[in-house]
Amino acid sequence: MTTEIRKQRQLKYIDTNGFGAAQGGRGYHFPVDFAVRKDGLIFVLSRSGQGSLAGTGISVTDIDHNWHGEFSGYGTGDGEMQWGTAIAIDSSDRLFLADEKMQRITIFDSENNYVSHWGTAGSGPNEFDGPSGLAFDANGNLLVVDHKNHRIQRYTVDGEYIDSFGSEGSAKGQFNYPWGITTASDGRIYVADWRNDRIQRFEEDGVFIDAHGESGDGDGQFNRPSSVAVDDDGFIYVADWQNQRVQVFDKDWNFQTIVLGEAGLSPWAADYINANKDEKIAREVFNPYPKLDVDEPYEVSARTEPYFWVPVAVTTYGDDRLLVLETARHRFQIFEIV
Amino acid sequence: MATATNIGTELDLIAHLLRRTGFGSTPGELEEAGELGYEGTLDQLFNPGDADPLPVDLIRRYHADHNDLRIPPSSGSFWMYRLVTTKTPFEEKIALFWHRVFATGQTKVIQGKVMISQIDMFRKYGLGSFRELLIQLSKDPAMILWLDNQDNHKDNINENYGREILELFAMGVGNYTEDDVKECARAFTGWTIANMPYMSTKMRNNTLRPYGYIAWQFEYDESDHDDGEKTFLGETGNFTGEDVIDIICKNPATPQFIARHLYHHFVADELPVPQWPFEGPKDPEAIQLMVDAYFANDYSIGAMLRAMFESDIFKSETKRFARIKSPAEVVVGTLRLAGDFDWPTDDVYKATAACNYMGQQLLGPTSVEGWMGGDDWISTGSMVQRINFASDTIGDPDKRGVKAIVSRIADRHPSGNVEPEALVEDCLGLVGRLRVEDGTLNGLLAFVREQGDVDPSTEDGAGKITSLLQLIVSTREYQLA
Amino acid sequence: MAEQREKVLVIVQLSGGNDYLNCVVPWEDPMYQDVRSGVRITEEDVIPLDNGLGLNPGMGAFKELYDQDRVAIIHGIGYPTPSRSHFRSMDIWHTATPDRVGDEGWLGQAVRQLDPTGSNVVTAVNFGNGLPRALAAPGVPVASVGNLDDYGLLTGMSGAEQREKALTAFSRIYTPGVGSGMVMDYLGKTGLDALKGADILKQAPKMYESTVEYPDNPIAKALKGVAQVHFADLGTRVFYTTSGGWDTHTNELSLQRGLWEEVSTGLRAFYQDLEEHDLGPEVTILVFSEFGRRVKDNGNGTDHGSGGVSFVIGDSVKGGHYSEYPSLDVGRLMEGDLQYNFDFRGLYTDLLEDWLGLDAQEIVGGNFEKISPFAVAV
Repeated sequence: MTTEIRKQRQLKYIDTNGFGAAQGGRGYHFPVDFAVRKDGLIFVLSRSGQGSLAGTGISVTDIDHNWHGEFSGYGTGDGEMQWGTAIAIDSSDRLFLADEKMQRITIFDSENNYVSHWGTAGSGPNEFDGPSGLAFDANGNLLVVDHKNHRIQRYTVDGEYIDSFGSEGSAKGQFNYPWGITTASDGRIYVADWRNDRIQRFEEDGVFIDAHGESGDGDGQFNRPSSVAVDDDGFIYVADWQNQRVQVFDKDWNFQTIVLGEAGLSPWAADYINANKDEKIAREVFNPYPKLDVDEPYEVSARTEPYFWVPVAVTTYGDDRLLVLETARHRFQIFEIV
Repeated sequence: MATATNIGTELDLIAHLLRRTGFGSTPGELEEAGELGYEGTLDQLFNPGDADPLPVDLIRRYHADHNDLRIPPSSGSFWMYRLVTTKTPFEEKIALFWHRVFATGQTKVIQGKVMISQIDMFRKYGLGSFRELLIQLSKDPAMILWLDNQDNHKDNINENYGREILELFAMGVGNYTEDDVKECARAFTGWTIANMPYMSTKMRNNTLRPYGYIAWQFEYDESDHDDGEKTFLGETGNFTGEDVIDIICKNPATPQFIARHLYHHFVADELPVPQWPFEGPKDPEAIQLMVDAYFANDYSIGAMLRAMFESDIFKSETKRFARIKSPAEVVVGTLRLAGDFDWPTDDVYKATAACNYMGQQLLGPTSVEGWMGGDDWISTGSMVQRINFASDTIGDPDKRGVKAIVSRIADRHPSGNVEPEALVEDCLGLVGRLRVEDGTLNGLLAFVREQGDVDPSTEDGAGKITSLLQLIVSTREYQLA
Repeated sequence: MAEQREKVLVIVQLSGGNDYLNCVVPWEDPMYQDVRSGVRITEEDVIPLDNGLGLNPGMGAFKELYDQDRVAIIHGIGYPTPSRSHFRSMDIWHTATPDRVGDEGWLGQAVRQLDPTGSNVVTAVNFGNGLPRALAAPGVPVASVGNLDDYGLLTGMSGAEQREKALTAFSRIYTPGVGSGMVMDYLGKTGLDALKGADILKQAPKMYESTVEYPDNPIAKALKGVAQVHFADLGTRVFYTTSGGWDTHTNELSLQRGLWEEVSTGLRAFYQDLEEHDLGPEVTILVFSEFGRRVKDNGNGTDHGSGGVSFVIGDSVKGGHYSEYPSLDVGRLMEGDLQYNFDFRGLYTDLLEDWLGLDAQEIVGGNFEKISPFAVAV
């Protein structure tokens, strides 16, 4: 076939939500995952870092930049976290949080109150070593990316073990430190097979369908993909983590487009700039896209504020928005799917 | 017996080399180097293979804060991983050397990302031509803002960088005039960074907001460069920064100054730098050797060091254990010995903090003069930190490096119990051939005797050996390199 | 009655930049209400003081100390050409040298004057890890205590008995031998001094008896350690403690209130403890932070500014307001910050000369106007 595949999907930048909040409060600090609830609230998991543990927690915002507070925080107690990796929300609005250090899944109710937690460290069935991605399958069961065991575990929402699939390796259906996971509306499961530089697709029951991607920085190639999202039409969005970009594919893996990000000032960021007149004045002559003498994507993004810097997670919002969360810039960019 | 002594002698010499070009040696590293011999080891040091440290993607996945390297615990720990896990520690020793001489501090430049880039630059250019290194340094964004060269304008010079490149980085006090400083500064006008007003304001306000720091990018602003005639160190011309560096590099004071720094870092503790203009080098012959190598090899730093390491001066007994270890050497050497950081761990922050508590905040020297070194490292507070960090780090018999030591001792004594003398000798040998005074040796022996029989093949024996190792890394001799 | 002891100085450092405006609050000032539209201590929350000022709602226990006439509020404290960098500004406070990078800490120099030969290795005790630059001076021994209960050498040794044996061996192997050379001798002496300091300090918790319950937070724990060492009469003259987390760019109202609750209740417990042991008169406390914060809030917090507030607390202190609250008038701000009106080196001079009885001029680098917070010539 030599017919050119029609590019059916593009991403158009529309907005930025975020602010660097090392001590908690309005904004995020090294966010690593987010989830959209059916009422439109957006929950952002800030992993923060050793020097600023107060920035650890789950923040609640919405598409219009309203701030609805935060909950959880650094610690080992009930409802606290150490190394949070992922969040997912079930059909009854309960929020599930994975913690790869404490090896547990914590559940919060729809009012953000702690409900319970479960999890056993290990490599046997019903055990995990480093839960990272979380998603619910078509039946409402919880899929846990058990990344250091290189497999996907399935549990009931109450933590009862059901089954698992995958093993360590690079063959079909095998994983190398997988990270993000999502379930498409057709029930298929997509996994960001992080260190194999590919996305794998499985049937609901864990049967391998296909894998796409190879190491590299060309179209359709990946460098440590961390997250994947699928819209209702089956288009696939991949956070190409170490290439500092998001790639879009159709359901047959035909390459659609790449976006690098073009963030502007969020209202929270604008408040900050307005409160600091010297920075406001200096920013008026600021060129966001300076001429660079580096080409490694990480270094380019470090020097270019609008670009994604460590795009860690992607999620759809409604039927025509894609949100891209950036760990190193404490924000998410909002794109219109066109 | 004679053969064994000879092997021992060469191994002692190799261990000496590895203390200076690295962070001491694990038993495995010393065995490998022993097979290569002294010359072979030197060849390998100067033609290293892959550093193969703990991969950056893993580090960034587990430490979210290592993605922007913003604050000192993050940037310092990011370097700490490499220091501890690299297979080519000489590169890191060189980077630490230039970090000390060209001391730039996160305390002022605030964002650690540009500091890590500066260290990368030292790693890449640190053994090459001094001329190229000075050019890279003068273009280094962290250095530019550290010494205010962004404020060094055609019509209003700021002398800071122009002065320090002469005084602290290349020549030393007494080898240039105040006029030279001004002319030097003029040559570097226009060497700035992109988006200077916004970047310097963010630095001044010490703020990550709104979206974290934006790493700096060197920019040459030709319109702000003073291309008028300058007279510098006796030469006259329309000098650029590169021209000035050429003149600096061919001046005999320059290799003298750099050689003395190299001596201080790699051979034996020298006087603190501020005393250099008044007191000559401890070992003028060693300095001359390196100066000759510099001019004979296109200003090559590597050639200076190689000539030094091949000389009898370096190999002599008097140079063994003739330096007080820097905190980084204590911390990194002990972690390497214990076999730590095979996988990302929060312990990396403790190691970085320990180094700081001992008086050396990686990427954060308190001033442009860097760390003095020598007995300046030693105070009651820093001794508590040194002893507790080292003994704590080595105190886990389940660690890979500790296991390796215990298993070697077990292999050497298949019959079980090890005599105290043999045990102490083995352990001193296995921590990188540490040589101790009689008083220390007797103290260690007394400690072992009190422990009762030691069978290295048992858990009890491993525990006792671990205790002995803890005491060994607490000795005065362990503070020396 | 306890015997008369030598005077001691306790430092409480608030790291990160305590927001002056929301600490000692000009809550009635319309300009305050205007500039702090988003991050304001309201009339309902403020603890009214006097002079139209109030305290942060977290400072209830602090207010009790104020009502006891023990607290001097030093308004508008700062230094010329303020730095908005945490590191640099803190370094300036630590070395009392705003114009260049200082070599020695102000308290390190004070300790050297107090004990020129370094004969008492615990003249200065820092509660925390590492050495604050304020205490750093060549040849001046300082004990840095993370946790007084397990402070010492070879703490990683498993088993108490094993550790005792190792410590015995340690003191033996650190005793300089004949002809060891200068470096080995110096290492030996320093190591043994460190051991001696640990041996001295570990007596303090054993001797300590008190009915006072300290709150469970890091600064209160450090202050309890100060009390323990002070009561043990080990000759310590300078104590250093640090409270972190004051960098309230976001979430300020909740963060600052919580931090002040920790510090205030810690200080109250400390004073109860001093009273119970009748050892209060010998103690003066300095509470300081590296800078105040921007006058205008950023919607959820405040950013780095200049001009701040310090407190001097003690039985010998004459409570009340010192210096003046800087104007919030836009025309009198300096780059959007409060204009400082009192140089902190003047306050250091008060503490060094009138409290510790030392020569301040050399330490602070000149003559600075004092503020005289002490009730009588002390």
